[in-house]
Amino acid sequence: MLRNEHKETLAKMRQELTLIDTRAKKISQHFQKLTREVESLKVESLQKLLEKKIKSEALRRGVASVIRDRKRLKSGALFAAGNFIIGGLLTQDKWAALNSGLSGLDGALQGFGRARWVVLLGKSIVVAASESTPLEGKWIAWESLKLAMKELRKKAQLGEALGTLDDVLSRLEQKRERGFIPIIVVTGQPKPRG
Amino acid sequence: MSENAGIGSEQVRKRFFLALSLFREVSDLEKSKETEAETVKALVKEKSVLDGQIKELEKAKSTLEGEIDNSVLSVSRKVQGIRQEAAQQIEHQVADIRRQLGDLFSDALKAGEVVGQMFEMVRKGEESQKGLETFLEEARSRLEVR
Repeated sequence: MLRNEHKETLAKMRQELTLIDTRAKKISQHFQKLTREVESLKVESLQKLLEKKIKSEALRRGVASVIRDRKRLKSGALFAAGNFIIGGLLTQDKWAALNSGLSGLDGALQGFGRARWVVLLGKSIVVAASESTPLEGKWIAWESLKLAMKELRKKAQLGEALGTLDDVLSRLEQKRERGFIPIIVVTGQPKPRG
Repeated sequence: MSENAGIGSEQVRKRFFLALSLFREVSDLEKSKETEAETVKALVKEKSVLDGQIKELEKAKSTLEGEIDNSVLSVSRKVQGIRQEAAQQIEHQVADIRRQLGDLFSDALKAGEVVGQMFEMVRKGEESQKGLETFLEEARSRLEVR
């Protein structure tokens, strides 16, 4: 009798242990996945920030370009954007007019401001258009940097810890030094933006 | 003659009857003595029969005592055997429980290790989350356009 009770107790304890073991493993797996995703998010968010900055700069350059050269107003893209607004207003659909019109205008202006973008990874992360601004230092072509970030994101998804922002920038720099990323070295005095 | 001796015939008669009665008494005593002797003889015989019976009883008693001793010894041996068997069974059970407990402790240690790893992963996850926040803040503050 006593032996049976012992057996039952031991069996119950063993079951509970198995349950704890399984749950702990499952939770570990979830957290591992979460950590990998968070690490990957670091690179992804850095890329998004840079893209946002590039878009905003492209827009600024496009507006500046239109202001400089009014003839561009008659060009196809911007004309089409203007038509979207007018079309929307005529059909009394102000909301559509505003949205489609503005997005078209936005796209057109960004198109005017299109450039070969380069990025400097350092104490400051700087985005610049390579052809218009005098640059100094080792700048990385944006398209190449995107490839490098994609590669780093894959590594993070496989479980590699990327560390701080400086660590990430350093790793991107290392890739550049190893020749994975084509670089643009520009010498000359950096020109402050007016 | 009696008269010569100065004794009367009456006296002689009395003496005669007295002697006769004495004779009778003696005879009775003799008879009684014989009866007693027979009784004693019978009693002696009976005593020897009883002695024999007593001896037989004593023999039976020692036989019984021997049997009782044997029986007690046998029971004692049986009890001892049962006790040893029970002790062995308990010993086996204890060894079995001890082994199972050992296995359980080993499993518990393994589970503890897994739980420890889980806590480590949770800590890493939390650190990673904090790291992302810092990363984003820092990236925003360091980003500029030239």
